[in-house]
Amino acid sequence: MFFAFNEALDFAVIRPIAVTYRFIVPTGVRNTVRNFLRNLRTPVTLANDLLQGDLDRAEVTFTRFFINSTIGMLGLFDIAADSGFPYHDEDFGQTMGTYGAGEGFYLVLPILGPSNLRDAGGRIVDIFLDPLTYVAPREVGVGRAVAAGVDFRSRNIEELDSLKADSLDFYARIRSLYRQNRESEINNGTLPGEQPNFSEIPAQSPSVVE
Amino acid sequence: MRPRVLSVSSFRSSLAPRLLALAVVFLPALAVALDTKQAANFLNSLQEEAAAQLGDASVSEQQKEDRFRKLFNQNFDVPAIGRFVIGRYWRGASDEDQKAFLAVFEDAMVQRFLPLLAENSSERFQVGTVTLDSRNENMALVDSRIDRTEGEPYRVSWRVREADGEFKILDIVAEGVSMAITLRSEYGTVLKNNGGKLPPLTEALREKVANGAFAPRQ
Repeated sequence: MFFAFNEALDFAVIRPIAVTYRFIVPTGVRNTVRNFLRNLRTPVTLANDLLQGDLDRAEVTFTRFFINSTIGMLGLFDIAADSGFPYHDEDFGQTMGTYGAGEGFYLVLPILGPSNLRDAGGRIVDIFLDPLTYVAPREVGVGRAVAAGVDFRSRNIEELDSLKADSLDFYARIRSLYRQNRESEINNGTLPGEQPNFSEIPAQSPSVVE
Repeated sequence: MRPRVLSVSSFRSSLAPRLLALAVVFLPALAVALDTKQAANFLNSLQEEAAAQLGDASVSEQQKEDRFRKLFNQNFDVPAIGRFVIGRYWRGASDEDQKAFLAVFEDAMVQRFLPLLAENSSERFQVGTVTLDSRNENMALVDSRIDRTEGEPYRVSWRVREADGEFKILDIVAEGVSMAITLRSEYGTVLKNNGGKLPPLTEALREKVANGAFAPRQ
């Protein structure tokens, strides 16, 4: 099972790298790295904004790319965010979600982590939507993916630690978190995906149970 | 006295339209069970109270926990949350098992949320919009923003329910992820692996609480 494999890999390699990275590289530089990686991904986001028919978000994405690639020194600085064009992310898995595609079944990809049939397929489409795939050697793509992974992990060290610490079934927890988070991403955070139905459970005062 | 008794019928006939007018004015207010402003105030005052009670440096850790537990039970519907996360296995459990679970679940929640509420001063905690639940008129989702010293602020929404003019928190939603749903999926898996029995889950939870696993790492 890839889940156990990923956990072992994370414990042995990824987490130590992320901790070291965060420890030795100052926050400002780490933010620059993230800005650059995000800017590189903008064409994919733009393509998916357009495929979702979301012209407002497409305009934001385009403006971000224009401002950050020029004044922002090839994306090292996120000037656009301060000018009212905040970052957002789109991918083809989300695009299919907006078309009404279900998630298929849940699966865990090696190294890449939690996913599902729809989103794993979406990842492949995103590779083809990315201009970098056609102009840069493959090593650039791999290097970028590794950098993005380390960046993500370094920003979630405590969060993932405490997620794991109090979980009784880490696999089930991650699966649920992934599902809910993707659903929220698909509807751009306007609504929480699944809403708990408390209407069948009456209000209770703590002293009276049942 | 006497003239009034005599004029009862005329009084009645004039009372009916007045009652009707009153009903027209007040019924819409009664039909909307939850006041969004009150819901926002509820969360604000909870935060202030938590900060006031827990921010006091002269208080011992044990006293802090006792105070927080009281505050927590006043403001969170722990039995309802506990029942929700157990889901369909709740009915099959005995009274004692249910009580034992709720007691440990309360400990876990206290351990989890005490540091979060205690450390957030009012300047960093801001209540945003309140959205009424489309399915339940006595529930709403209250948005809030918690600024951090480093990194992007947390956006947390609180699902509240009003009953008899009192608000209670039922769920916490962060980045589109609901605590209640997450715990229900997770505990559901544990319950399924144990043949739907509640005590093994309670035991596992108790062990985690004893190790302080719910305290957030900072």
